[in-house]
Amino acid sequence: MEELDQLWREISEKTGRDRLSAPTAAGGFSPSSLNLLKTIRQRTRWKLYFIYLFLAAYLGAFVWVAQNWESRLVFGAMTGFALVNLWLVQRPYVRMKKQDLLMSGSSRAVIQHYYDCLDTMLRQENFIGALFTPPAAMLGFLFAFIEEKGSAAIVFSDWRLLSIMLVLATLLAPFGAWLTRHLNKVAFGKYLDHLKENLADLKSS
Amino acid sequence: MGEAKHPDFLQLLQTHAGILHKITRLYTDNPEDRRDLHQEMLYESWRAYPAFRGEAAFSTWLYRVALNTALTFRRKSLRHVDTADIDAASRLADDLPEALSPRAEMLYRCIRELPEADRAIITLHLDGYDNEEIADITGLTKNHAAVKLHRIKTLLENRLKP
Repeated sequence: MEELDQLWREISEKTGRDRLSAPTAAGGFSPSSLNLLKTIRQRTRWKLYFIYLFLAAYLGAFVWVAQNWESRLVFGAMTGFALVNLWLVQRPYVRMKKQDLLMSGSSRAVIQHYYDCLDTMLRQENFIGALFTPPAAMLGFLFAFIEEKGSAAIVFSDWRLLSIMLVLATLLAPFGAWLTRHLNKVAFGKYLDHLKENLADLKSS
Repeated sequence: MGEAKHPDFLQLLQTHAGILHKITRLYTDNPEDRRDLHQEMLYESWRAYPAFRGEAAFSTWLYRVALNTALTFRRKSLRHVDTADIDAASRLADDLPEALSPRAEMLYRCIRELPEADRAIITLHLDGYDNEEIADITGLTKNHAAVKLHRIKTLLENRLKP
């Protein structure tokens, strides 16, 4: 053990003397985008922007496109779905930002917090993706049929149209679940794995 | 960057700059990543400084921020997971601090090969932090930190055996 200490002193002396940087405090900072937590926050923020965009589109359609109460009901429901999604993403994002200020907490606490926020958000979104895709698709078609036929009553009395909507919902349920899971995996998968790996290191005995 | 608000920050940072350099070296494989991580550490410490209450020594607090940043630093290697091991090995070889004795160089390599969390634990220990402080900084329990530390030290000693 004494040897370890002695060797470490040598390493500390040599690396401590190093003057890496150029970009010191006096010159201002230009932090890179390589910070994992920052990247997670950035990507979550992009996700929120998309949700806001769709929410605005649905609301716009509700106000300006829908001509009758049935169409309004369709867009109202879609707005509702978007609001639920917004709530699911906004909450963990706000929690992540709070922890951002507490960078000086213990490593495990900071990593665990980010992992929990991200994991919960993705799991809920995957579930909601599977749950909401079929009705959202059905509502989209229902709107198109209402526009064409003039009334929801006509659509609901036509078994062929109902069958089309039902088949679509059945086919789209697994596709929606897969797509949501896949997109989340592409956007966040490796970051979540990295956090998980570090947490395992800090937890394993 | 808030010098007027925290006039002592830069001075403290300069005094303890060695901590950042050391951790930066231990957690990155190439000069580009090293510059990025170093900047991230400076940036995060500057942002977190208003929350520093002076309950612990500045060096302990800086260690904490630097390690948290290093542990959550997305290395370039994450984006190139298919990079051949030989490339990483050659980068590491090019990146050793200058003029280390062969034994120190071997220890340095061994520490860099440890999992990231273990690297933090042994670095803190070798820098004189006791088990309680290590537990506080990493978030492990004191006993767990002691067990892990014992394992890491045994591993390092075995690897350093001639």
